[in-house]
Amino acid sequence: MRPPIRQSMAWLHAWIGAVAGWILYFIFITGAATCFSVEIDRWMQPERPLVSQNVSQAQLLEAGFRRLGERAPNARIWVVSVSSNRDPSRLQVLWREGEASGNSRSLTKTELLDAGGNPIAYRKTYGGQLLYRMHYQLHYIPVVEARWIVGVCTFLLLIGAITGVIIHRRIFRDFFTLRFGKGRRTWIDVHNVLAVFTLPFQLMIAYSGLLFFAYIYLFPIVTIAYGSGDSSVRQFLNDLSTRPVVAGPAVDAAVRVSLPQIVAETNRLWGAGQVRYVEITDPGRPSERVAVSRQRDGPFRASEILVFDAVGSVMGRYDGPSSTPRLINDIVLGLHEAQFANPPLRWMYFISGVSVAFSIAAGLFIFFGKLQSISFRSFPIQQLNIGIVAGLPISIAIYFWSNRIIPIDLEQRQAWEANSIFVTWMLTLTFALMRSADKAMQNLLWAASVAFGLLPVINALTTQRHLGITLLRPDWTLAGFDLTMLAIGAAFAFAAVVTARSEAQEAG
Amino acid sequence: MRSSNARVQLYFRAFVGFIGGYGCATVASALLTMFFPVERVDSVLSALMIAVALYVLCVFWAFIATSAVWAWLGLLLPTCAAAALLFLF
Amino acid sequence: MSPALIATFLLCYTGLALFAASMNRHRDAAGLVKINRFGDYLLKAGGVLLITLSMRASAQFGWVIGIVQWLGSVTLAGLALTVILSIWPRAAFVLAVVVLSILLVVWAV
Repeated sequence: MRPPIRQSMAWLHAWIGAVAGWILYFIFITGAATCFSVEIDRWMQPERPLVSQNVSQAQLLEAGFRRLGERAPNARIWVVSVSSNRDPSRLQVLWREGEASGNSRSLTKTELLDAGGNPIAYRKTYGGQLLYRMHYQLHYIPVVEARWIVGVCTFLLLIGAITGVIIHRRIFRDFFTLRFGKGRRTWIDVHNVLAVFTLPFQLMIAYSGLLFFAYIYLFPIVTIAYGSGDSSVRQFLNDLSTRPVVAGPAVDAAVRVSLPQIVAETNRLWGAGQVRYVEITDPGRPSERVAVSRQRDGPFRASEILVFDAVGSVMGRYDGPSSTPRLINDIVLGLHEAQFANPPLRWMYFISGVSVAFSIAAGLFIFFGKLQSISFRSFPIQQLNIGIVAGLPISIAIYFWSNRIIPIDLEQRQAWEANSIFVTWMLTLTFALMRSADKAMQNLLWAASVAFGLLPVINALTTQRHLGITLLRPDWTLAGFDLTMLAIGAAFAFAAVVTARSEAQEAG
Repeated sequence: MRSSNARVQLYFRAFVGFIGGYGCATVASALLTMFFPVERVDSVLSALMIAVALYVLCVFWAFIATSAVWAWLGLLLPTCAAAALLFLF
Repeated sequence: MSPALIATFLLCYTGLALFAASMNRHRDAAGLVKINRFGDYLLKAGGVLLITLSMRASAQFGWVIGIVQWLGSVTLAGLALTVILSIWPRAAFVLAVVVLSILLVVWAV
């Protein structure tokens, strides 16, 4: 006795939405923000200099080497990292004293440098990288558990998307249909339109998202091939690693080659401006190994690597995936992260991600609207939903506000920036619970509009990186951020007006 | 309102699909790729990629199967068969 | 913003607009006459043609990036078309005609 297929698919679709909806909404919003995590980093570190067009990558790398030579001549590992295709003036150095193979992150020190190699004193912040990390391991929850939660929800998204297509009876007839002002019907249209058009994106993102930690989620497969236990997982990751292993004899110190010369050799082989980072093990010593990693402009996730020894000869290399499964894995993961993407493509990812998030939000409104009238007459469950869904964008705007407002010398200010997201979220939730559903929606949409729209103003009041300065340079990354915040603020204002009007239409 | 029998059916099939499907997908994909003449890491990668898709199919199988018993058996039998084969080799 | 990407997006938009134009529901909203079966198939075929051309426009970027750009373009063009259709149905079709003419001119030149 089988339940009718459409009924079981609808049941499954609703259950998945209820269970995973909020978390998936969070994942897609933070994931969309991650498209611009490097740009967000830059905005949240206003002490960094404005973009300067005339510095070549080789000059930046040289400045980095010089600084490391002064600051940490006895370190075991040096890393100089640039970010040419997304942040041309970014120059970061890291070094680790002590044992090269030590695992302790506290031994690694880092600095951001300007074009001349001088360290910049920037405020402590997690920047856009926080949004990136929360996207797959949430916050406050231990990392392993969080990744499992995200993984389960991602899998549920796959099932949810497919069940959605199955139950969408009029998928072709309603392909372009979006009717405003019809209450529940409008929400359904919004949910359908946003979900159907982003279907390829959803399937790709969910599938590739699962692959990142598939070796954890589907651990029996790794166990069957490698045996059980942590060491077998480590062995698997080792086998997968693209880092060329190079041991070899130490060389005669008399014929050393300088680091800028190694960069020049790399430019000869790869072309100019192709370096992503340079990692030097045992700098200055005969056993020195210099690993140069290439910029990612192709869809592969892992970049090419060249390893030089102290006399400048190539000792090891990674030229790309060496087998078809690794090739496919690299491409699929690369598609998810879109490191290769140029700005237009990046915006496409962003809009798609936000569209899926809104589709999920619309689905949640429909679901909780129905639930409110059926089961939860005394508890304001739709307001709970509104508080959560409308609250998240507000919380992210407040994250950016907090970067400008929290005092620079506050201990652990970066943790407080992160806390501001969740404190705000709790506040919007509480606020929504105290209002009627319609009022809560209106108020929170306007709050979001104000939170985003005023951000450039706060920027102008607190830093020297506001639109007045960044548009004149022009520093498009920083200006773009402020302009995008204005656009998002305007969009929320528009949404607030449209919602108010259609509610008036329904009531009147 | 859906009858309670139908609702039990749905919960049962969901349970079978998600739990049984996990077992079936992981073991069957591992079996499938174990016999490819490739390095261990490649067979694991292929198995992982196939298993995700297979898991999705298993969940749908559980709802499409003509009876609840068949839903369960349809996942249990391949799992046991694959596990046995893996154990033997 | 490479010309190929713009071309891909615009071709997707006009192709999808042709599909929409073949549906009586949207024709009514835009104040156009209802269409018969032949016209329906003709418009749909036109839509398929334009979508195929848009694939070709992205092909120069290689398989992987090309497909990603094309899928992204279809997605965004679809969303844009749907939003415009729901607010000013006529404008959506007028826009499609204008864009198509521009594309033809650019291609001929």
